[in-house]
Amino acid sequence: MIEIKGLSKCFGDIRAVKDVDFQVEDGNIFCLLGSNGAGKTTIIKTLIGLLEGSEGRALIDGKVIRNDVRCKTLFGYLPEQPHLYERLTGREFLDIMGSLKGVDKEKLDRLIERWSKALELDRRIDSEMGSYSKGMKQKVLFINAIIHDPPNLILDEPTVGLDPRYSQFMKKKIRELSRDGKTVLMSTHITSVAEEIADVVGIIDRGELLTVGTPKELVERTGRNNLEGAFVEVIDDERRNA
Amino acid sequence: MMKEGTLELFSTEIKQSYRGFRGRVVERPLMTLWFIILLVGGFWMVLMMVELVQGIDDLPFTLSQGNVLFVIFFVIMSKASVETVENTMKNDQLKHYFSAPVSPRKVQYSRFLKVFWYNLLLVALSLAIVSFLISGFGFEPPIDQYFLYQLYALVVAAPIIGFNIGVMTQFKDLLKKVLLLLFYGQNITLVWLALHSDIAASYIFYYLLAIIFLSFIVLLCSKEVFWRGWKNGTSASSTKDLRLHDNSDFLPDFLDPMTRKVAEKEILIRWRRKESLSTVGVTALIGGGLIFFYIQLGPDPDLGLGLDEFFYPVLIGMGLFLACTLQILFPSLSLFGREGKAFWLIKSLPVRPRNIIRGKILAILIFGPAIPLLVAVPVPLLLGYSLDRILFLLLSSILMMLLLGSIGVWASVKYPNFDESVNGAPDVTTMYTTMMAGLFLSGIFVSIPASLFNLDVTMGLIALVVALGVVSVVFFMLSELAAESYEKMEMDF
Repeated sequence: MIEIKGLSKCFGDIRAVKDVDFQVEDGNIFCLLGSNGAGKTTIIKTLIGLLEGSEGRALIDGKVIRNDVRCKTLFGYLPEQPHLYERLTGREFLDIMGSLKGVDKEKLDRLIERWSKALELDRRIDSEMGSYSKGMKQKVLFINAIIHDPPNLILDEPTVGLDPRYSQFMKKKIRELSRDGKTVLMSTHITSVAEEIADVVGIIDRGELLTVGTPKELVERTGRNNLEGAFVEVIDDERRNA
Repeated sequence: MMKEGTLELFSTEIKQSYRGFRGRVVERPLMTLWFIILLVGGFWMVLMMVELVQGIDDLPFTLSQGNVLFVIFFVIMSKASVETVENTMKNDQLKHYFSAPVSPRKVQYSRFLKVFWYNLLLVALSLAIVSFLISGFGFEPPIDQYFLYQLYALVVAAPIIGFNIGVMTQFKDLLKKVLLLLFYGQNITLVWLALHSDIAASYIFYYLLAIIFLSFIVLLCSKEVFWRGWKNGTSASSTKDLRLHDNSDFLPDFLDPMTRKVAEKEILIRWRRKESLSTVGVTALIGGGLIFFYIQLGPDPDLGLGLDEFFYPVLIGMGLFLACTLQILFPSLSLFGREGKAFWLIKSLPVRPRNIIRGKILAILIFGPAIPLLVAVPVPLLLGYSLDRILFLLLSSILMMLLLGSIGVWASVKYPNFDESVNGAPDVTTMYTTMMAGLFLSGIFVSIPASLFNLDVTMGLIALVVALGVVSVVFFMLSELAAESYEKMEMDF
């Protein structure tokens, strides 16, 4: 389970996240839906310990991740931008990362083979990742996120910049992983992605979580036809009242 | 020719650098003040040494104006060349400029102007400090007006030649690259010849102007080489089977598995970027330089002032410090900064900070044995030093490596620079301050045992072993402090 309790994060005078509360039940897909700069990535980075919250707490399976090394096996993380070690080959990268996450050597070799074939990376897996396309890097990072079989997945804009085929694969895979019992927290600014795969959607704007509900509930609550309409309505309404 | 596009790109770079500099000064005012004190102190020491050398009647080597000027030229040129390779030719961020409707020629000129500007600034600052010290302390360096004319010409020539060489090093075809560098590198020979010729000093200036003109023509005509070189410098290899070893396990099993894996990752990356080889190469050059001194001056240089017997030990000590600075201190300063935006990878790993720090520093220290082997041992062997003296030098080199490594590790976490356009290299304030701190501490830790060694060999060696023990504790403690600071680091970029 993932819990965010009264979380705030300030960067100097700027309050990027304001008193956010929500939780993701085991096996659910929770989607943070917001415009660019709404605070989605800040919440995710705080949750996985890359940032320290100014107030409140972010917990994965009841643990604060920051500064607790053992808890870092509890999640797999896929960032929005595929920043990785460009001078390593895909295999070397996965081998090193997998080992550091405590995956057994033989199992790791098998997993790398299996996933690189499944994601059509096998022909380039021994080339330096600097020569990969963005989609290929994203695939490597996706394998990296799930290679240690974590109970929770944190995915930051997992479909941005991907071709339609791989985007579809990614959505399918996220649903499968959720069915297998994994808890998924993802962020996106693409309403169709949220509508398609999320169990619960939280709409966030200017660091504030405005509303939470299933896609169907949000559509009904706002009286719109789809999630995109509901999203625009919630944001506009909030800005009018602000 | 360098119209709007060039100047706009150049001013953008300068604006960014200035804001970064201003930010650092505001953030760390005491460190900046300390940097200024050390900088002025450094020049004061150089002027004092010049005064001292003037007092020696019969120097065993000639310290002509030409020699001094050539050294200044060579340092600025090398600096410009390294900056060009690291910050321009291997800078992936330039893709934003190249993808804009701006000619590669303008990108090239803007990058050249940046290198030129920084070196000019450096020389202007140095001259200002020297002038201040001369007027304040009454130093009388033996220079005339022609020294200054030639210095000004060389300050212009060095960045141009350095930039062109930096560009040429990234040429893909090895044969063409070697030929090009051999041919163009003759400019360095021309500068040396001009500075050491018998012609009147006033004419040397005109020769130097001619060299500047020729190099400037090369700069203007090398757009294509620049463009191809950048593409080559920033492209990763798509060759298959790059593995050095099956699944990248190549360090011994007795190491902690986490530390080992972190170290293997670092070693692989440094190896592919040719960083390990180049730093060892620089150490070999320093060792070669010491042998050159031995060949030039012989085993018993007559310096007067009763300092003869200390000449080689001090020279080797300086060589060791320089090699440790370049091979250990500077790389360790960018341990975390060089991760750039990929920092999230190690930060989100279930690995203790201590193991990360140890793995990273291990990847640097693993090439450390090159320092004693290439710098500490060859000249003492040529001089026929006894085993105890060689042992003293070997232990001193280990001490310096650990000391500078520990300072570097600590500073890398305390003052990381995640700027990918400089490959995470620390700012000049951090580099200079840590270097001077390393020099000061190395001096203390080595000079006391050395003085004792001069009185009694056994006592000196015991003192050095004790000092090595103290430095090992310092290394351990600073690594632990670095691990604590690493835990608190935030990835807010």
